[in-house]
Amino acid sequence: MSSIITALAPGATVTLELTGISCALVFVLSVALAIGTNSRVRAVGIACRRYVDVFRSVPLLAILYLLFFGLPTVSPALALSALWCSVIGIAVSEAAFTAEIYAGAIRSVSRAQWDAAASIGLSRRQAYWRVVLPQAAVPAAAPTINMLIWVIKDTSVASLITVNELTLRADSLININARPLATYLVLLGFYVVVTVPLGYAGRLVERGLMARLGGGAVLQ
Amino acid sequence: MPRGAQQPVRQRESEPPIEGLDRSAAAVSYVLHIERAVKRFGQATALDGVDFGVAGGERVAIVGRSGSGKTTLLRCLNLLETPTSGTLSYEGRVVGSWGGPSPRTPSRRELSQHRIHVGMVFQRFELFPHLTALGNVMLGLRRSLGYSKHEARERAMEQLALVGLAERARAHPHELSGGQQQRVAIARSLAMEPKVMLFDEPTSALDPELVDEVLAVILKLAERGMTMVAVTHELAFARDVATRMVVVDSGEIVEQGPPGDIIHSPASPVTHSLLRRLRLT
Repeated sequence: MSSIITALAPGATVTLELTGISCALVFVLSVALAIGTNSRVRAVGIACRRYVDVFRSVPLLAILYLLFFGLPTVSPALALSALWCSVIGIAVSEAAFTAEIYAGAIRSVSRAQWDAAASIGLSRRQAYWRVVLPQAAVPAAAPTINMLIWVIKDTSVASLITVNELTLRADSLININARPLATYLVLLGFYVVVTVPLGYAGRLVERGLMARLGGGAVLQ
Repeated sequence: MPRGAQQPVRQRESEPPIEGLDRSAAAVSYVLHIERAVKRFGQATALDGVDFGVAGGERVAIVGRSGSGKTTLLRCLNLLETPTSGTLSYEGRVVGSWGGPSPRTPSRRELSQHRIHVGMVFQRFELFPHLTALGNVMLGLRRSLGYSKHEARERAMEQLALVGLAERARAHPHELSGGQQQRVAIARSLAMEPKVMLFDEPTSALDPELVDEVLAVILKLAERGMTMVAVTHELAFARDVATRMVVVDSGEIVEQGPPGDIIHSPASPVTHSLLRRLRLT
């Protein structure tokens, strides 16, 4: 058992690397899309909504294959490393889901808060940054942790385009040790060890945010 | 009452003319003036050709039943609602003009400036829950007026002291009573040094015992000469603080004049039934 753990451990580093970069990208892209969905420029709003519709409907694996195998056929300059294909693919796919949630969180901030921000001369951008987004963060906190957990699981799909993260390492190991059950159990164990504490952390963050803002005032 | 005509002003012969409400519109220097204001929401008409102005130092109470258009009128004054047609002027300069042959939409910067000049206090206070009382008052100072953090804090503390809440500067809104929250909201608006303050039913959402502390602050502002327009149900405010009372119904101004006169002897049956209802609550 311990030999399996030692063999798989380096894969954990890669998994976490993938997760970290992808999450950062998902977050930025989702916030941009969520704000874009509420844009007063009609074209922007429509474009963002189309994006969400499309990328929620396409399987992650299909996107990864497209990026990894498809792009280089268009031009060698577009040949990205497996790692970057994975990161971009995961980000682009997950953002479509998270954007909807963030957009909902933004909409949950009452219209009157926008009025109050406007009444002290704040521009729309300032209102977003100083008034609305900080309040939207509370209902967005738990779903963000969920996104993190989804991304960790998505990274295992990257194994199919040669990224040597946990799942691929497990597959390779089985070819050597012929112990699929034990190996896959350890693999599951790795994922559990990473995701379960994240779930707890998420609940703590949510509770902390609610205490600071006064739950009743925000959860309308 | 014919639309667009100069709204009749009720005056007793023995009294001097109400300041700023001279017959000829040209002689009046309104700080804030909206003309021929029409506001439609889809099929519904909230404002049907309203002319309303307020001169410096005036304190106007706008009354009317719900759905009368009084809140829409107020929100048009700081452009939280954009009129379907009409012209809004501040200190004699046109801020915006809608409908008509030559419409003029204010730029984002002009809108922001206008709202600094014309502050608003909301029925449900609308403090920013993620900021302390001090933070709420500082936000506009820093981001709209460009004060440094230090200057903003100083000025914000002054405003909080003015409304009697300096010791609660570090409290978050949910730790404050309704009356305290509303006073912070007033401080937040005041910090912007507005020329006109708009109040949208400032005490309606308050428990009765908390109303007085807020009215006291508003009275204090009145004593300092603040120009104000308040949509209110509080007849006491209209009678004691306001210099003019405006009755709105179905998107039109039905009558206006000194509060004492109107309350004592309303000309319009609309006013009459409104007053009866307000007195009973």
